Amino acid sequence: MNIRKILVVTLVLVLALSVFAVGCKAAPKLAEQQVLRMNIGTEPPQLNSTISTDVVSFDVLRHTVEGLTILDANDKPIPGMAEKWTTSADGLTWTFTLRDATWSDGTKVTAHDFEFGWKTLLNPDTASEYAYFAYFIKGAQAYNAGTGSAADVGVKATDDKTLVVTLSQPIGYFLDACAFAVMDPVPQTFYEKIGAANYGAEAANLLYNGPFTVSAWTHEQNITLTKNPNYWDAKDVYLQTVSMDMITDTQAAFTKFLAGDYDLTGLASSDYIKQSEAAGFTTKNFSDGSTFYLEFNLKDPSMANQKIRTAITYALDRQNYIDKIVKDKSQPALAFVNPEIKGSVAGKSYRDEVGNLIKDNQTTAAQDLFKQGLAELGVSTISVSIISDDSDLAIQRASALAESLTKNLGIEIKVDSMPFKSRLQKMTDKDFQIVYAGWGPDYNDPMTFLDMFETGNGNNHTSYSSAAYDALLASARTETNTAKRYALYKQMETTLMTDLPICPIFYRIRSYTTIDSLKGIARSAFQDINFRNAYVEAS
Amino acid sequence: MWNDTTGGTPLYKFIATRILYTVLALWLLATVTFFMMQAMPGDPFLKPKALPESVAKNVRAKWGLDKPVVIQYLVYLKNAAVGDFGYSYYYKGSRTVAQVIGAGFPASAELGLRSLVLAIFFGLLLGIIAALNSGKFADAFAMFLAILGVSVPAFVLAYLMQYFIAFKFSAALKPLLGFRLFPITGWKTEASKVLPVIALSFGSMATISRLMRSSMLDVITSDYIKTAKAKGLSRNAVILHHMLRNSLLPIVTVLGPMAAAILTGTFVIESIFGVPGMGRLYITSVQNQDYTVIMGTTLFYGAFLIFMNLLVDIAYGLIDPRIRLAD
Repeated sequence: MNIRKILVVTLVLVLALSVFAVGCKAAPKLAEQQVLRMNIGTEPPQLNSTISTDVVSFDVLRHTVEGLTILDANDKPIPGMAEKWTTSADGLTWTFTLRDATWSDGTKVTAHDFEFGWKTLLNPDTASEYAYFAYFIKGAQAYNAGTGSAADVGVKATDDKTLVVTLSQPIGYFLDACAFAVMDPVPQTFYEKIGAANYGAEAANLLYNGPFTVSAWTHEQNITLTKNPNYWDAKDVYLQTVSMDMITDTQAAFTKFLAGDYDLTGLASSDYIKQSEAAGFTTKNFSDGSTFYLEFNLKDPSMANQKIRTAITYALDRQNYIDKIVKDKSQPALAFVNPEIKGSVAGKSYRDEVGNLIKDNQTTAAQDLFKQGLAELGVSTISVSIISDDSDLAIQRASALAESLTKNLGIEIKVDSMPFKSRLQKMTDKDFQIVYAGWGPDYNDPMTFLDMFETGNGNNHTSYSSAAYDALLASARTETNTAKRYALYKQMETTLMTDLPICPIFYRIRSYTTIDSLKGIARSAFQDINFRNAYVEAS
Repeated sequence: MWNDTTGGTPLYKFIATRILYTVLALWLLATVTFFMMQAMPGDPFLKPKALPESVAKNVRAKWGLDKPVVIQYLVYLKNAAVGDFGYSYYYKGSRTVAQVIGAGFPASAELGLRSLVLAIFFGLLLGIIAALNSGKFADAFAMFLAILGVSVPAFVLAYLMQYFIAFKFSAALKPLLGFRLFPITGWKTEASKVLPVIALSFGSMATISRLMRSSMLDVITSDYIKTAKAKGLSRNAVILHHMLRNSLLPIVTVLGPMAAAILTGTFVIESIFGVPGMGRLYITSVQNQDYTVIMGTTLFYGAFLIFMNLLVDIAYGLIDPRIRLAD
């Protein structure tokens, strides 16, 4: 009987403990020093969210200034400064309720800070290059173009805790967009005291409401972040100090990582991946959401022929190109919209829902099409040039493509390399035949990849113009029903992949590595790096 | 002494002429650079994603890029004349060109000065040893080092030193010393300055040693040296008093441009060793088409070069009384 009692008690205890263990979130075992040392490569020109345009500025702002929403490790928008929100039936009016939060000088974060920040972004005098990002707000474009007033812009702080936003069209990515740095709040009194030109130019010229504050900024050398004790979610922030160096030379920075000066490093090419793995580090990969492709100039007589463009697109052996030339984990692109873009239903990507839209590595079919195209043009061969940047990497990649096309199709292709801005200028002037280009998403919706092919769009270097495409695009812009809108996106992309003003090549995957004890680093298509919840594990 | 140097011309006239030439040269430099810069395809705000028309209009208006090129040029000159070189486009108005260059110049100048001193000292030493032991092993060895210095690009030497000395060698010594002997990058401690200075000095050291050697060999065979020896002067006296002074002129000639180049920053060494200098500005300003910084760095370098050449001219007069400046 005693033994039975003991067994029963033991059983009950074991069961209770197991329930307890499963129900609790395992707390990380923290090392004594919670420090992250890394290299960001260059200095942010300044940390003024209303005029920032570069990845490095956004990386720092993401951790120091918080908007209405933030993105989690899977790029899903979750509450940030806004605790909750409601939307009207037509999806055009959003009402945000802010949580209690303070800036680093003790003043409260209010809805006025958001109204002021967004209007400063749109103010024509600010001359922000990202002003267009907020054009989905009613009256925004008119204000920015100088034809409307600030009072007519659809963002109003009805009281300290309530922000009402009116959109000009229903968009599926509004909450995602609110997490983007350009939509950060700006405290008006502080901004006016410091002055627009100096706002964000030094560590002391900015107020912080994010998980970290900028505690030190030595220009061209280092930015140091310190944990913000007043952050609303401080309990989930483990790092105490983050040191960001500005070593511009990739090899020098990598040597520092090998020597233990840094805890994290990017692996810019296959050479670095090899060195890193040889030193015993595990390579980590993430998709940065970008698609690399060839743009054809449809105004050029040879490139105007659809069969020739299709032949070029189908002739490429993308996996072979990635394996032999790009030499990383990038994926062949058999459509244009990157697989990181979310789909119409939760948990699925747009790419999952639509599938692939072009064929790859079809030498015979391609050769046939090519001959037909030549016959239509009435020529026996064509000779074209691909323009690319003048870096070794860019020249190598463009040349390899040219070579494989010459081999498979007999096209005479030469590579014209030039400095980055010269290439951009040629694209703007539409002075090219084929150009090797890449496109990254601005927001999490297929539209970020699709709207540039509208007739006359500033990024439409191909001069592609399809009445059918434009009509679909116009409908998609005003369609409030998500399923219907995504059906329109699918039709648009199918049209695009039939007409082929571009030839998709690969979806980029980038590589990096960290020391083993560093956990919780998130890198994704819409967050170059997120170390908000990172920590150093005890050994 | 001054009138001797300037060949009898009053000093004030000499200085006035020099200033006039300097202003003229800088004006010409500014003009040519400005128009060449504007002729480059692209502009400071050209990005992979095209700006919508309204945004582009605001941006161009704010930075004065919407005015005709000639007006922009005149505005630039007017401001430059009173020392206002504008804001850097890259920093979007939060830092002026003067601040950007001013922040980087001290580190570049210190790196350059240390390298120059090292290069001159060892360059002269090697050259003298080679010349005095002409044809023997010491000569061949010194010249071998010189050829290496001239042929091996500075960045190759920099990477090798960084990897093997700062990384591997220092790591190996760490258990013994308790600290890392050389940091991999940086410009704070004395130890961090050793490798970049050596890497930068190598090329100039090689050039100076070869020049010194050939210059001394010329001097060694000249008449006045034979006279000095015949007079019974000791070997050291002959070397120091006669040979050195007469051999120095070719070195001094190259020192002007060499000093100007080294002191105003070198892109590669600074970026490899993380020296916060202004060297990177020459490259990044052109890549970014940061017009104001391009103009600023060009004029700064030009002025520096002119000043260095002035010092060289004065040095000529001091070293060799036979030379008169204002002939």
